[in-house]
Amino acid sequence: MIISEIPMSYVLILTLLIFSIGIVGVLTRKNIIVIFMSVELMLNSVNLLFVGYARMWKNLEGEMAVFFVMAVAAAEAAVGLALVISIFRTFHTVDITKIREMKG
Amino acid sequence: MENIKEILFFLFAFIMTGSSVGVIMHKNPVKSALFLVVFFVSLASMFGLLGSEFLAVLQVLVYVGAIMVLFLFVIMLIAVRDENFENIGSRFGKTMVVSLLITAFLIQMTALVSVHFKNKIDTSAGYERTIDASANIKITGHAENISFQLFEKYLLPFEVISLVLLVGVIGAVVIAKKNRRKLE
Repeated sequence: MIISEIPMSYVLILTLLIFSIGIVGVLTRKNIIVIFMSVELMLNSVNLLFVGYARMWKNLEGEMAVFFVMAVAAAEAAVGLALVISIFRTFHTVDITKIREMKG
Repeated sequence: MENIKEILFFLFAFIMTGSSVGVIMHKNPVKSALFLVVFFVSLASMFGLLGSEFLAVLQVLVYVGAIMVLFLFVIMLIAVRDENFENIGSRFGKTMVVSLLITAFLIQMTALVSVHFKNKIDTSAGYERTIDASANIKITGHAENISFQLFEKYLLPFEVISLVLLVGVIGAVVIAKKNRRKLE
């Protein structure tokens, strides 16, 4: 039986790449929904890192962390999208550059 | 056959990177959401490749089945127009700051990774530590082990997370409810 192996540094670099892409999405996009999607990208890249380290140290703690992150992300998505609907009802737009109620 | 897992890793890594670039680059939010579905499915494949098949199933169920449906539902509910990227050049300073920050972050994290694994090479007999997916299959990854952990060690966080989900659902309903009378 062939034991195949993936170097941990590959997983780390992939995580780094996707997290950076998520940061770029959060900082450059103007649509609230796409910003939410970028936040989901960042959460999932960290989940991948948790799984990689859990496999590396042969430990279950990392996978439990992923489980709880998933549950919190589900709650966060529900509340966040409700907020998006509420914002759209109030301002009739989801463009964050056009929402200037609290701009000083 | 020997490095089929490595080939699969690179395949899924390629799909994940490409689809996440698609998420942040595409003008149409619906297509961004569909790119995000591709990302989640390939991430689930990656979880399976790393050996935690329970989390792979959970990823597809929770993210693709629940969260993405919610995203698409909200996009459908509010009429979202295409974002125009034309005036991104007028915000040149902001774009410069963002790209400088990202470059600094990437350089720093890559340095961290290389230092980390240089130490690892010293300690572990000349080769890098690798993720061994099939040798420890009894220890991690199976739903049985995860459920034992969940109901013994993590019983209190499990109950708290169910409360968080309940509060999230109620909060979402309350926030999204129409209260025109209050607004006007």
